[in-house]
Amino acid sequence: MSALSYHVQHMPDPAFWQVLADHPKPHGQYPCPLTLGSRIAFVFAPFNTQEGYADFGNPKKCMHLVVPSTPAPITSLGYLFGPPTGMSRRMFVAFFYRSNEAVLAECSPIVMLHKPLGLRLQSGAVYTDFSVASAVLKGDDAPINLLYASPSNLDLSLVIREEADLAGKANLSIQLRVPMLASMTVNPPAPARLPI
Amino acid sequence: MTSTTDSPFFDPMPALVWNLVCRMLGPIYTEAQPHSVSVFDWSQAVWDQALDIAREHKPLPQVRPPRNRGLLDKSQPSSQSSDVGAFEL
Repeated sequence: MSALSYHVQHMPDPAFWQVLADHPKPHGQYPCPLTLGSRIAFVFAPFNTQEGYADFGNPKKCMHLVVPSTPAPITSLGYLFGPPTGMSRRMFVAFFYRSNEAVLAECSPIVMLHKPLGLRLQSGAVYTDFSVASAVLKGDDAPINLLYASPSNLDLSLVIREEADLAGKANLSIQLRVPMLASMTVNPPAPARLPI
Repeated sequence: MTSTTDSPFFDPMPALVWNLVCRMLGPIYTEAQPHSVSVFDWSQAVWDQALDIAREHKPLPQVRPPRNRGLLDKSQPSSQSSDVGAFEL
């Protein structure tokens, strides 16, 4: 199994990204349909994808994401970064049950650090046979540059930054800063090929 | 008495890595949304409606400002590509 790495895929569709940024609305009707670009049919709802995610003592919940029942089994998931608002961006996860049909919900960037151990349905059933897209989507030109710190310890933080490699491809650099942990490199990216 | 060698975590590396994951992720973790998935009605009509709207959808022309153009054009799918509409896996 290879390590997860992400590159940034640009998919401009101002109407979609603006609508996404405006959800959830106080009296909005959910689930609601959203369409991105050339016909990715999303169904968005503001449900908690990470219910039980941090229950590390419960192997059936920890590092699992919660999903609704879909017309077909979910086969892949991918992450989207909403438009910048001040110094931040909201992040979303899309659960694809067909190549261009997915459920969309908000999530925390923490889930990017590790492939979810499973996707848990309300019935308790768990999907484990799914992939994580190597591309993250955004619709604007501003580079992704985010800092998330623990409320209880600001020295514990997660930094996600968009950087270009030698081939000019935009990749996500993810840094985790943990006090008292030895400085270490986890799953370093393979050196980029020179554009020859 | 159970020997530690009977434990699936006898190999210290998975236990160590798992402990690190718990220590690192726990304090940073914040729940993103307040609602349970069960609050919403996920009936077949919802999926059908999303698909119908997508079929009728006509996206705006993709006019982009020049900033970062060289960097980002490489990762933008062509409008002629059969992969348009899907994530790269």
